[in-house]
Amino acid sequence: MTAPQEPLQPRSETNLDPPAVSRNVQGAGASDAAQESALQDERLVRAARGGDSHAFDDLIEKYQQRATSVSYRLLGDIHDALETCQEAFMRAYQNLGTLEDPRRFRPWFLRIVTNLSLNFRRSRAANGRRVSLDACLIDSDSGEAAFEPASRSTETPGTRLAAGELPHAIREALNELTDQQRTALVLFSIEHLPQKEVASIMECSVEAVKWHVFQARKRLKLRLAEFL
Amino acid sequence: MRGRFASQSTMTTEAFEQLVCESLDEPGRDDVRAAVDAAIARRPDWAALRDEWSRLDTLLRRNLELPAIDWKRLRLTWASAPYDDRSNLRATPPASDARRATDLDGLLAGATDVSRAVNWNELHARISRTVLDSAANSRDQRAQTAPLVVASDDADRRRQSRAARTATPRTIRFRILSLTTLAAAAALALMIGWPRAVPHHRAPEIAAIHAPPARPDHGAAPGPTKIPADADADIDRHTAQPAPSPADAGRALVARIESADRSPSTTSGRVVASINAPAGGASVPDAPAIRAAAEPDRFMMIDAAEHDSAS
Repeated sequence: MTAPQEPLQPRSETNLDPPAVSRNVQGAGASDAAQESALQDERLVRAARGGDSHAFDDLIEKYQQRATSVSYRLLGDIHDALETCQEAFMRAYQNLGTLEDPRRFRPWFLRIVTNLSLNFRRSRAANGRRVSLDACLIDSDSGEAAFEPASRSTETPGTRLAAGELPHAIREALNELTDQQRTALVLFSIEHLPQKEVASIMECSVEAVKWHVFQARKRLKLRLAEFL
Repeated sequence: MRGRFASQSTMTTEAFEQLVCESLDEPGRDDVRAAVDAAIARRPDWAALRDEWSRLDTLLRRNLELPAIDWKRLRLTWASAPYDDRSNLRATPPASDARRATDLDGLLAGATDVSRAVNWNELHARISRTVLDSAANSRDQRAQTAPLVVASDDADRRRQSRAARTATPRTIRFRILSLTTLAAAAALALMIGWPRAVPHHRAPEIAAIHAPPARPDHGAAPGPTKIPADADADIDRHTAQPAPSPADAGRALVARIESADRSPSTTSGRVVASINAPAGGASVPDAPAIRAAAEPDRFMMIDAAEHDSAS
């Protein structure tokens, strides 16, 4: 008797809550969930390679939040993040055949997102643009098609100004981090990805990831001391 | 307390901060949390430090949250982008392109049997004209570029002249084209059997006969003997004379033999004769053969070449 096939409909990856268990010594449930997710990725990737037009759509649905979150936290601008993520999905689709192990789609795809975001950030810095969360909020008010501003109804100009001061300071502080510190902090401390996966995405050792995270926190703590 | 933190009785502030960060990133690790509590138990002032790190962590998480996004709509937008590329790959070409492709296919299919589709005589003539024109144009090009090579003391003109000489890709290309055209014409000419149209002619310089091996006392080198070009006249003259009848030739030969027989220079007592020896340009095989057969002690039969060498 064979086990029933898992439906291809993916569950969207959400990363906004802190992990309930350790990411180094994961429990059996977390490990099973990760393995299940990897197997689902493998099926979707193979189906997409085989010409199933809905398979890659399912991969987009599964990873769009994760990708947008990573890119947004690296770039600090939701418009840039959405643009970068669309490019990342297109790159992933075009290079799906080069993925050796379809079960490792997530680290492979997040590496694309990270690299594109960092490249975007560098080109933006070269062009003299500054990252501003305020600008993002103002753009949100203009009513873009793809997203809506959070808690718009309860905000007043005064509270928005007061609330915008801290995010602006955080954004400035993040801008002062190196690419490695910022990436390690976002992927590990904020996105709560496993250390090994972060190391794989950053192409460095686990210890290096830990070190980058700690250095990033130290700099942020020093920079944001007045808000602590 | 177990684990790698149990023996850390002298922990530095930075080590403690690393431990706090680790506990924040991995809240499920009991050993890390216990190590932090143990360190604070030894140094109570580190509790404020831990709280600072915790506030920083909360601050980051709270202020880096994503705006509210219509994920369903976004998914549809993103999903359409890569599939557009796929649809481009499968797109049908425009009607004009398709017609051109069909025409090209027909042209290529019809061109497989070239031999019947080509007027080879016309092609031959055209290639010949092209080759001649190319040669003439090449001479013209050289004639046009020749004035650019000037002998002048003026530096600018020398530089221009040098540039004109070194930067003449048109001329170089044209010469290469001419050589290529010549090679192509030669190959085509060979293919269409041009050599068969040329009358067979053996030049006198290369016509040769095989002489017998030279004798050591003569000192001549062995090998083919070349007939000099000026010998053509003699050959033609001899071959142009009317051949005598076999009876006349036989009589003449017998007279020569008898005369030689009486010659005092003959020391051997035998006369050398040849069955193929020319007598007035004709072979007379019968008379010496008859005499040789009749008087074998006086005649020895040798061939003409040996006769020439001996004489």
